[in-house]
Amino acid sequence: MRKANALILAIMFLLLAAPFAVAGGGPSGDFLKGYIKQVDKTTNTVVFEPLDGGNQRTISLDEHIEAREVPLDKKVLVNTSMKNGDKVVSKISHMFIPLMNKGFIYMIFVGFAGGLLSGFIGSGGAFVMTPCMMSMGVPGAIAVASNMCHKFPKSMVGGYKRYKYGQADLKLGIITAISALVGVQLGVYVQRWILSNWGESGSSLFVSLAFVIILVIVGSYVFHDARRLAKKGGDGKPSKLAQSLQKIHIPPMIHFKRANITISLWFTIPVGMGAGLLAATIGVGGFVGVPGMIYVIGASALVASASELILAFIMGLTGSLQWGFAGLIDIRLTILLLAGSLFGVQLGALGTTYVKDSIVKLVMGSIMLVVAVSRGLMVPVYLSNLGLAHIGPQTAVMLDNWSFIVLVLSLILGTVLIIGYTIKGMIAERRELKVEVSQSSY
Amino acid sequence: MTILNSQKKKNLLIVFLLGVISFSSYIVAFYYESYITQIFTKGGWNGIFPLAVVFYFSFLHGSFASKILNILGIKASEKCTS
Repeated sequence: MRKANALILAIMFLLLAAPFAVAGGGPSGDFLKGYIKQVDKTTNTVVFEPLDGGNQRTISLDEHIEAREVPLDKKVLVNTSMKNGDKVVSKISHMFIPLMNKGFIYMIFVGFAGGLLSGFIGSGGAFVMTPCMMSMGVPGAIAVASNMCHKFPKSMVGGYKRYKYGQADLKLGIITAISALVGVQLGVYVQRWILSNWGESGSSLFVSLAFVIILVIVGSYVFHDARRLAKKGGDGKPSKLAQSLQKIHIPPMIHFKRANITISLWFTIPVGMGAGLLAATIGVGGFVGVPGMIYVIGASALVASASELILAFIMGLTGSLQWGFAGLIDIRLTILLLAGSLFGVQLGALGTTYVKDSIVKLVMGSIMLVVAVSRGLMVPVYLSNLGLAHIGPQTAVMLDNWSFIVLVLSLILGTVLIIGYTIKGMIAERRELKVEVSQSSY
Repeated sequence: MTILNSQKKKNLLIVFLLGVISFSSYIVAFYYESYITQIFTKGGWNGIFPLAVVFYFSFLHGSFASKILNILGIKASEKCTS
């Protein structure tokens, strides 16, 4: 009864928090949805009709936008920025890109690989899915929204599977999700402060630098720990930090049954808040949430990666409500991603039943380090945009392309590692079963 | 043996039905794509529609994917499930 009451209270809190949560960097106010009805080439202005039924208005175009390239009477997403005190159109994108056969296959494959990662390491996917969609011409806001809307059902299915396998700790997932929602709020303020003080290039530089520093530090530690465990051949004990924190009795003490841990609630809050803060600022909450659950709270890698799926479900649901209210979810992209990811997430989840903790850490650490390289390649471009370094436009394009290629390579690496270890585990188990059967028949 | 066979046939029939419904849902969604995207992106409370649709697809297509993997013999480790 007490458990049911606690669950109801947690759900009520989440529903109340939902309208304020903007996981993964929410919809900002600098875009408009609607139609461009007229273009005046002499004054370089457009007549814009908003989708929400508001009055038509005239807005100036930024210098780099050619009036002849403006699409008329098509549903568009218009990004605006302030220039000399006036609002100007800085970018115009088609809200819905036409989807051809190639696009269908590409989306299903990306969904499958992202799902595989989520099912296995509990996080990952968003960092590569959003750029993949943007590479097809999908506007950034639509790509983030459509990915967010596919993230929560995928996490729900993966989380359910891993709960059935005895890995997901529901209480750990819900408690960290509640503090993550607070962290998201903090992250949104940090992001806004950076944007207003350093502008768009400064914000991109901050995101890239934070991304590289955090991913290199956490990823190297996870990778090193995985190799150490693999050499020892065991699953290892909780970290020294987690062991000492578990000894400190500050009420309320919480027992996590599946994780088999008793720890003060106060030590779980920084983990959730850190995941939320990073989800809202640099968009990779899971890469901090899972290691946090392992090294700070003391859960095993299998329990942490499974419980992260519950956190991802709650964060994804609240975030999707926000993006849905803003009307930015392209449902076609979302359901295409789901077509692949619902297979991938279940395959990844069942793969964890064949591997040890060290393998989950190895896969996670490897991907984090490759993704850090991808983001690191963009740092000179943002430094150049801010005037702090100088690189030519051709070099900038080349670095941008290489950054995307390395990102895709990380997805391929994850897919190969997960499928490889799953097949290896399956073959080993079948061999063991055969030996057992032949021994019992003697 | 007969019970096993009939169980197998039943499972195959369920997978087939789930597959047909899931595939048809995708066809319907893409046939009416302009109408659907128009309504779903109006904003406000219309934002609930995409969420309802993804729940529908995740239950339907998720069950289909789970059963297909099962039929192909791709199952979780017996040590874990037992």
